[in-house]
Amino acid sequence: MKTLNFVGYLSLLAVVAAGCGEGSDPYQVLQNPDETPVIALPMEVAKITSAASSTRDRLELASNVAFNVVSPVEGYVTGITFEATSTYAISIFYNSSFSLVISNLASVPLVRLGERVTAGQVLGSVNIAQAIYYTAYLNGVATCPYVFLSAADKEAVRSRNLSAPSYPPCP
Amino acid sequence: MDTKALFRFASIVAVAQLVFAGAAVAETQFTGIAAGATYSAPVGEEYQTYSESTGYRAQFWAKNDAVLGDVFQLHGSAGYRPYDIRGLTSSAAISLKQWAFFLGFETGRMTNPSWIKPFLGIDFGAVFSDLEAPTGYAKNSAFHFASEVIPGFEIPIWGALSFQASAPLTFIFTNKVFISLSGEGSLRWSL
Repeated sequence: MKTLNFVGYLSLLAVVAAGCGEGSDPYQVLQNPDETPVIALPMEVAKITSAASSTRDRLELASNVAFNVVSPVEGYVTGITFEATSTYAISIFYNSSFSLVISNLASVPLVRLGERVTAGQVLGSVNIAQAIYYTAYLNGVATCPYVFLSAADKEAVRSRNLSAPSYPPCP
Repeated sequence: MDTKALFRFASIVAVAQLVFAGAAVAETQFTGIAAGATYSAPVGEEYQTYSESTGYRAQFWAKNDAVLGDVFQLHGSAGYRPYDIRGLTSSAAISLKQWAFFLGFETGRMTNPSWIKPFLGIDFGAVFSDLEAPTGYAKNSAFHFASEVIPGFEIPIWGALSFQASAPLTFIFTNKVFISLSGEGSLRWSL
Protein backbone atom coordinates (compact mmCIF):
# COMPACT_ATOMS: atom_id res chain seq x y z
CA MET A 1 0.00 0.00 0.00
CA LYS A 2 2.75 2.43 0.92
CA THR A 3 4.55 1.49 -2.27
CA LEU A 4 1.47 2.27 -4.33
CA ASN A 5 1.03 5.59 -2.55
CA PHE A 6 4.64 6.34 -3.30
CA VAL A 7 4.08 5.58 -7.00
CA GLY A 8 1.04 7.85 -6.99
CA TYR A 9 2.92 10.73 -5.40
CA LEU A 10 5.85 10.15 -7.73
CA SER A 11 3.57 10.35 -10.77
CA LEU A 12 2.00 13.55 -9.48
CA LEU A 13 5.42 15.00 -8.74
CA ALA A 14 6.58 14.14 -12.26
CA VAL A 15 3.61 15.98 -13.71
CA VAL A 16 4.20 19.07 -11.59
CA ALA A 17 7.99 19.07 -11.78
CA ALA A 18 8.03 18.73 -15.55
CA GLY A 19 6.66 22.28 -15.76
CA CYS A 20 3.26 23.70 -16.43
CA GLY A 21 3.81 24.48 -20.06
CA GLU A 22 5.24 27.49 -21.84
CA GLY A 23 4.42 29.48 -24.92
CA SER A 24 1.66 28.18 -27.14
CA ASP A 25 0.03 24.78 -27.24
CA PRO A 26 2.44 22.77 -29.44
CA TYR A 27 -0.36 21.10 -31.35
CA GLN A 28 -2.02 24.42 -32.18
CA VAL A 29 1.30 25.92 -33.25
CA LEU A 30 1.51 23.45 -36.14
CA GLN A 31 -2.18 23.36 -36.86
CA ASN A 32 -3.10 24.90 -40.19
CA PRO A 33 -5.49 23.74 -42.88
CA ASP A 34 -4.10 21.14 -45.26
CA GLU A 35 -4.81 23.35 -48.26
CA THR A 36 -2.22 25.56 -49.92
CA PRO A 37 -2.87 29.10 -48.68
CA VAL A 38 -3.40 32.30 -50.61
CA ILE A 39 -0.45 34.37 -49.46
CA ALA A 40 0.31 38.06 -49.27
CA LEU A 41 3.50 39.91 -50.05
CA PRO A 42 5.89 40.27 -47.10
CA MET A 43 5.92 44.07 -47.36
CA GLU A 44 3.51 46.89 -48.04
CA VAL A 45 2.57 46.87 -51.70
CA ALA A 46 2.91 50.66 -51.87
CA LYS A 47 6.60 50.42 -50.99
CA ILE A 48 7.55 48.02 -53.80
CA THR A 49 9.51 49.71 -56.53
CA SER A 50 10.82 46.60 -58.23
CA ALA A 51 9.57 43.02 -58.40
CA ALA A 52 11.51 40.51 -60.45
CA SER A 53 12.75 36.94 -60.58
CA SER A 54 16.33 36.43 -61.62
CA THR A 55 15.82 32.73 -60.84
CA ARG A 56 12.67 30.71 -61.31
CA ASP A 57 12.20 29.91 -57.65
CA ARG A 58 11.92 33.30 -56.00
CA LEU A 59 10.58 36.81 -56.18
CA GLU A 60 12.97 39.69 -55.53
CA LEU A 61 11.25 42.67 -53.99
CA ALA A 62 12.97 46.01 -53.60
CA SER A 63 12.04 49.45 -52.40
CA ASN A 64 13.66 52.89 -52.42
CA VAL A 65 12.74 53.39 -48.77
CA ALA A 66 13.47 51.29 -45.70
CA PHE A 67 10.60 49.00 -44.81
CA ASN A 68 9.47 46.28 -42.44
CA VAL A 69 9.17 42.69 -43.60
CA VAL A 70 6.05 41.01 -42.28
CA SER A 71 4.95 37.41 -42.16
CA PRO A 72 2.65 36.70 -45.12
CA VAL A 73 0.89 33.85 -43.31
CA GLU A 74 0.13 32.55 -39.86
CA GLY A 75 2.81 29.97 -39.17
CA TYR A 76 5.70 28.66 -37.13
CA VAL A 77 9.30 29.89 -37.43
CA THR A 78 11.29 26.75 -38.20
CA GLY A 79 14.51 28.31 -39.34
CA ILE A 80 16.60 31.46 -38.87
CA THR A 81 19.93 31.20 -40.65
CA PHE A 82 22.82 33.61 -41.09
CA GLU A 83 23.88 33.45 -44.72
CA ALA A 84 27.32 33.82 -46.29
CA THR A 85 26.21 37.21 -47.58
CA SER A 86 25.87 38.44 -43.97
CA THR A 87 22.12 38.44 -44.24
CA TYR A 88 19.41 36.43 -42.52
CA ALA A 89 16.87 33.97 -43.90
CA ILE A 90 13.65 33.14 -42.04
CA SER A 91 11.69 29.94 -42.73
CA ILE A 92 7.99 29.92 -41.87
CA PHE A 93 6.16 26.60 -41.70
CA TYR A 94 2.51 26.86 -42.77
CA ASN A 95 1.72 23.16 -43.03
CA SER A 96 3.64 20.00 -43.85
CA SER A 97 3.46 20.69 -47.57
CA PHE A 98 3.83 24.47 -47.68
CA SER A 99 6.53 26.74 -46.24
CA LEU A 100 7.88 30.19 -47.00
CA VAL A 101 11.44 31.47 -46.85
CA ILE A 102 12.21 35.18 -46.76
CA SER A 103 15.92 35.85 -47.18
CA ASN A 104 18.52 38.58 -47.73
CA LEU A 105 17.37 40.40 -44.59
CA ALA A 106 20.08 42.76 -43.42
CA SER A 107 18.80 43.30 -39.89
CA VAL A 108 18.61 40.85 -37.01
CA PRO A 109 15.20 39.13 -37.15
CA LEU A 110 12.64 40.23 -34.58
CA VAL A 111 11.26 36.71 -34.17
CA ARG A 112 12.84 33.65 -32.62
CA LEU A 113 13.18 30.10 -33.82
CA GLY A 114 10.15 28.18 -32.60
CA GLU A 115 7.89 31.23 -32.38
CA ARG A 116 4.31 31.19 -33.63
CA VAL A 117 3.84 34.18 -35.94
CA THR A 118 0.62 35.71 -37.18
CA ALA A 119 -0.04 37.11 -40.65
CA GLY A 120 1.26 40.67 -40.71
CA GLN A 121 3.65 40.26 -37.77
CA VAL A 122 6.91 42.16 -38.30
CA LEU A 123 9.84 39.79 -38.91
CA GLY A 124 12.59 42.37 -39.45
CA SER A 125 13.50 45.41 -41.44
CA VAL A 126 15.22 46.05 -44.76
CA ASN A 127 17.51 48.89 -45.77
CA ILE A 128 16.89 51.27 -48.62
CA ALA A 129 17.43 49.77 -52.08
CA GLN A 130 18.02 46.29 -50.73
CA ALA A 131 16.00 43.49 -52.32
CA ILE A 132 14.53 40.69 -50.25
CA TYR A 133 14.11 37.21 -51.67
CA TYR A 134 10.75 35.56 -51.27
CA THR A 135 10.43 31.80 -51.91
CA ALA A 136 7.62 29.32 -51.38
CA TYR A 137 8.32 25.64 -50.79
CA LEU A 138 5.66 23.28 -52.04
CA ASN A 139 6.30 19.69 -50.95
CA GLY A 140 9.95 20.55 -50.40
CA VAL A 141 10.50 22.13 -53.81
CA ALA A 142 11.41 25.82 -54.08
CA THR A 143 8.69 27.54 -56.08
CA CYS A 144 8.07 31.09 -57.13
CA PRO A 145 5.46 32.44 -54.70
CA TYR A 146 3.76 34.49 -57.41
CA VAL A 147 1.28 31.74 -58.20
CA PHE A 148 0.11 31.66 -54.57
CA LEU A 149 -0.44 35.42 -54.26
CA SER A 150 -3.85 37.02 -54.03
CA ALA A 151 -5.15 38.66 -57.20
CA ALA A 152 -4.42 42.14 -55.84
CA ASP A 153 -0.84 41.26 -54.96
CA LYS A 154 -0.29 39.61 -58.35
CA GLU A 155 -1.40 42.84 -59.98
CA ALA A 156 0.93 44.83 -57.71
CA VAL A 157 3.86 42.62 -58.68
CA ARG A 158 3.02 42.87 -62.38
CA SER A 159 2.83 46.64 -62.25
CA ARG A 160 6.16 46.97 -60.39
CA ASN A 161 7.89 44.55 -62.71
CA LEU A 162 8.11 47.23 -65.38
CA SER A 163 11.36 48.49 -63.89
CA ALA A 164 13.05 45.15 -64.53
CA PRO A 165 11.59 43.98 -67.84
CA SER A 166 14.39 41.49 -68.49
CA TYR A 167 13.16 39.36 -65.59
CA PRO A 168 9.56 38.18 -65.57
CA PRO A 169 7.93 37.99 -62.13
CA CYS A 170 8.12 34.18 -62.21
CA PRO A 171 7.16 31.77 -64.95
CA MET B 1 -0.55 25.48 -19.73
CA ASP B 2 -3.60 23.26 -19.75
CA THR B 3 -4.42 23.61 -16.07
CA LYS B 4 -7.51 21.45 -16.39
CA ALA B 5 -5.44 18.54 -17.64
CA LEU B 6 -3.11 18.82 -14.66
CA PHE B 7 -5.98 18.81 -12.20
CA ARG B 8 -7.69 15.97 -14.02
CA PHE B 9 -4.58 13.86 -13.75
CA ALA B 10 -4.10 14.80 -10.09
CA SER B 11 -7.72 13.75 -9.50
CA ILE B 12 -7.14 10.37 -11.11
CA VAL B 13 -4.11 9.78 -8.90
CA ALA B 14 -6.03 10.93 -5.82
CA VAL B 15 -9.03 8.72 -6.60
CA ALA B 16 -6.80 5.72 -7.21
CA GLN B 17 -5.16 6.33 -3.86
CA LEU B 18 -8.50 6.63 -2.07
CA VAL B 19 -9.71 3.37 -3.59
CA PHE B 20 -6.68 1.54 -2.37
CA ALA B 21 -6.66 3.29 1.02
CA GLY B 22 -10.23 2.05 1.52
CA ALA B 23 -9.10 -1.43 0.75
CA ALA B 24 -6.28 -1.45 3.22
CA VAL B 25 -7.60 -4.73 4.59
CA ALA B 26 -6.28 -6.46 1.54
CA GLU B 27 -2.72 -6.31 0.47
CA THR B 28 -1.91 -4.68 -2.86
CA GLN B 29 0.98 -6.37 -4.57
CA PHE B 30 3.02 -5.59 -7.58
CA THR B 31 2.67 -8.40 -10.09
CA GLY B 32 5.02 -7.33 -12.83
CA ILE B 33 7.30 -4.75 -14.35
CA ALA B 34 8.22 -4.26 -17.98
CA ALA B 35 10.28 -2.08 -20.25
CA GLY B 36 10.31 -1.88 -24.00
CA ALA B 37 10.30 0.08 -27.23
CA THR B 38 7.38 1.65 -29.06
CA TYR B 39 6.97 2.51 -32.72
CA SER B 40 4.12 4.98 -33.18
CA ALA B 41 2.40 6.76 -36.00
CA PRO B 42 -0.13 9.58 -35.74
CA VAL B 43 -3.47 8.69 -37.26
CA GLY B 44 -5.56 10.88 -39.55
CA GLU B 45 -4.73 14.51 -40.33
CA GLU B 46 -1.83 14.59 -37.88
CA TYR B 47 0.01 12.00 -39.99
CA GLN B 48 0.63 14.79 -42.51
CA THR B 49 2.41 16.86 -39.88
CA TYR B 50 4.26 14.39 -37.67
CA SER B 51 6.52 11.53 -38.71
CA GLU B 52 6.57 8.08 -37.14
CA SER B 53 8.31 7.87 -33.81
CA THR B 54 10.43 5.35 -31.93
CA GLY B 55 10.01 5.70 -28.19
CA TYR B 56 10.32 3.87 -24.92
CA ARG B 57 8.05 2.87 -22.09
CA ALA B 58 8.30 1.42 -18.58
CA GLN B 59 5.26 -0.28 -17.04
CA PHE B 60 4.13 -1.86 -13.81
CA TRP B 61 1.18 -4.01 -12.76
CA ALA B 62 -0.34 -4.50 -9.33
CA LYS B 63 -3.20 -6.60 -8.02
CA ASN B 64 -5.63 -6.09 -5.19
CA ASP B 65 -8.09 -8.97 -4.89
CA ALA B 66 -10.44 -7.12 -2.54
CA VAL B 67 -10.96 -4.18 -4.89
CA LEU B 68 -10.26 -5.50 -8.36
CA GLY B 69 -10.90 -9.21 -7.90
CA ASP B 70 -8.75 -11.68 -9.77
CA VAL B 71 -9.92 -10.45 -13.17
CA PHE B 72 -8.58 -6.90 -13.18
CA GLN B 73 -5.25 -5.49 -12.18
CA LEU B 74 -3.85 -2.01 -11.93
CA HIS B 75 -1.56 -0.89 -14.72
CA GLY B 76 0.70 2.15 -14.79
CA SER B 77 3.23 3.39 -17.29
CA ALA B 78 5.60 6.21 -18.13
CA GLY B 79 6.79 6.66 -21.69
CA TYR B 80 8.59 8.94 -24.09
CA ARG B 81 7.95 9.48 -27.80
CA PRO B 82 9.67 12.02 -30.08
CA TYR B 83 7.97 12.92 -33.37
CA ASP B 84 9.78 14.74 -36.16
CA ILE B 85 7.93 17.40 -38.14
CA ARG B 86 7.33 16.71 -41.80
CA GLY B 87 7.98 19.23 -44.56
CA LEU B 88 10.58 21.46 -42.92
CA THR B 89 12.56 23.61 -45.34
CA SER B 90 15.41 24.28 -42.94
CA SER B 91 17.83 21.80 -41.43
CA ALA B 92 16.72 22.62 -37.88
CA ALA B 93 16.02 19.42 -35.95
CA ILE B 94 12.60 20.38 -34.69
CA SER B 95 10.60 17.71 -32.95
CA LEU B 96 7.54 17.20 -30.80
CA LYS B 97 8.45 15.28 -27.67
CA GLN B 98 5.77 13.57 -25.63
CA TRP B 99 6.21 12.33 -22.06
CA ALA B 100 3.20 10.24 -21.07
CA PHE B 101 2.09 9.16 -17.60
CA PHE B 102 -0.80 6.70 -17.40
CA LEU B 103 -2.68 4.77 -14.75
CA GLY B 104 -5.52 2.35 -15.43
CA PHE B 105 -6.84 -1.17 -15.43
CA GLU B 106 -6.11 -4.30 -17.35
CA THR B 107 -7.96 -7.57 -17.79
CA GLY B 108 -7.51 -10.92 -19.52
CA ARG B 109 -4.00 -11.80 -18.46
CA MET B 110 -4.33 -13.02 -14.88
CA THR B 111 -6.93 -15.74 -15.19
CA ASN B 112 -5.98 -17.01 -18.62
CA PRO B 113 -4.52 -20.51 -18.39
CA SER B 114 -3.22 -20.64 -21.95
CA TRP B 115 0.41 -20.28 -22.92
CA ILE B 116 -0.17 -17.08 -24.86
CA LYS B 117 -2.09 -14.66 -22.69
CA PRO B 118 -4.07 -11.94 -24.44
CA PHE B 119 -4.94 -8.83 -22.46
CA LEU B 120 -6.80 -5.55 -22.81
CA GLY B 121 -6.11 -2.43 -20.81
CA ILE B 122 -7.47 1.08 -20.55
CA ASP B 123 -5.42 3.86 -19.01
CA PHE B 124 -5.94 7.51 -18.21
CA GLY B 125 -3.37 10.14 -17.50
CA ALA B 126 -1.53 13.15 -18.80
CA VAL B 127 0.87 13.80 -21.63
CA PHE B 128 3.42 16.59 -21.48
CA SER B 129 4.18 17.75 -25.03
CA ASP B 130 7.10 19.94 -25.95
CA LEU B 131 7.78 21.37 -29.41
CA GLU B 132 11.51 21.98 -29.55
CA ALA B 133 14.12 23.41 -31.83
CA PRO B 134 17.78 22.93 -30.89
CA THR B 135 19.06 26.45 -30.22
CA GLY B 136 17.68 29.90 -29.57
CA TYR B 137 14.17 28.64 -29.56
CA ALA B 138 10.88 29.84 -28.15
CA LYS B 139 9.41 27.00 -26.11
CA ASN B 140 5.94 25.68 -26.79
CA SER B 141 4.82 23.06 -24.32
CA ALA B 142 1.66 21.97 -22.53
CA PHE B 143 0.00 19.24 -20.51
CA HIS B 144 -3.02 17.48 -21.94
CA PHE B 145 -5.40 14.90 -20.57
CA ALA B 146 -4.95 11.59 -22.38
CA SER B 147 -6.19 8.04 -22.45
CA GLU B 148 -4.98 4.83 -23.98
CA VAL B 149 -6.50 1.51 -25.01
CA ILE B 150 -3.97 -1.32 -25.01
CA PRO B 151 -4.75 -4.68 -26.62
CA GLY B 152 -1.91 -7.19 -26.66
CA PHE B 153 -0.61 -10.60 -25.73
CA GLU B 154 2.10 -12.06 -23.56
CA ILE B 155 4.35 -15.02 -24.40
CA PRO B 156 6.38 -16.65 -21.60
CA ILE B 157 10.08 -16.95 -22.38
CA TRP B 158 11.76 -18.39 -19.33
CA GLY B 159 10.65 -18.49 -15.71
CA ALA B 160 9.24 -15.12 -14.70
CA LEU B 161 10.46 -13.50 -17.91
CA SER B 162 8.05 -13.03 -20.79
CA PHE B 163 7.71 -11.06 -23.98
CA GLN B 164 4.66 -8.95 -24.56
CA ALA B 165 3.47 -7.35 -27.75
CA SER B 166 0.76 -4.72 -27.79
CA ALA B 167 -0.82 -2.11 -30.00
CA PRO B 168 -1.66 0.92 -27.84
CA LEU B 169 -4.12 3.40 -29.30
CA THR B 170 -3.45 6.74 -27.63
CA PHE B 171 -5.79 9.74 -27.47
CA ILE B 172 -4.39 13.11 -26.43
CA PHE B 173 -7.11 15.69 -25.91
CA THR B 174 -5.81 18.94 -27.35
CA ASN B 175 -8.19 21.43 -28.99
CA LYS B 176 -8.60 18.56 -31.45
CA VAL B 177 -7.70 14.98 -30.58
CA PHE B 178 -4.22 13.73 -31.38
CA ILE B 179 -4.55 9.99 -32.02
CA SER B 180 -1.61 7.66 -32.47
CA LEU B 181 -1.41 3.93 -33.08
CA SER B 182 1.66 2.11 -31.85
CA GLY B 183 3.32 -1.23 -31.98
CA GLU B 184 5.08 -2.06 -28.77
CA GLY B 185 7.39 -4.87 -27.73
CA SER B 186 8.62 -5.24 -24.18
CA LEU B 187 10.16 -7.65 -21.76
CA ARG B 188 8.04 -8.32 -18.69
CA TRP B 189 9.22 -9.67 -15.37
CA SER B 190 6.51 -11.23 -13.22
CA LEU B 191 6.88 -10.55 -9.51
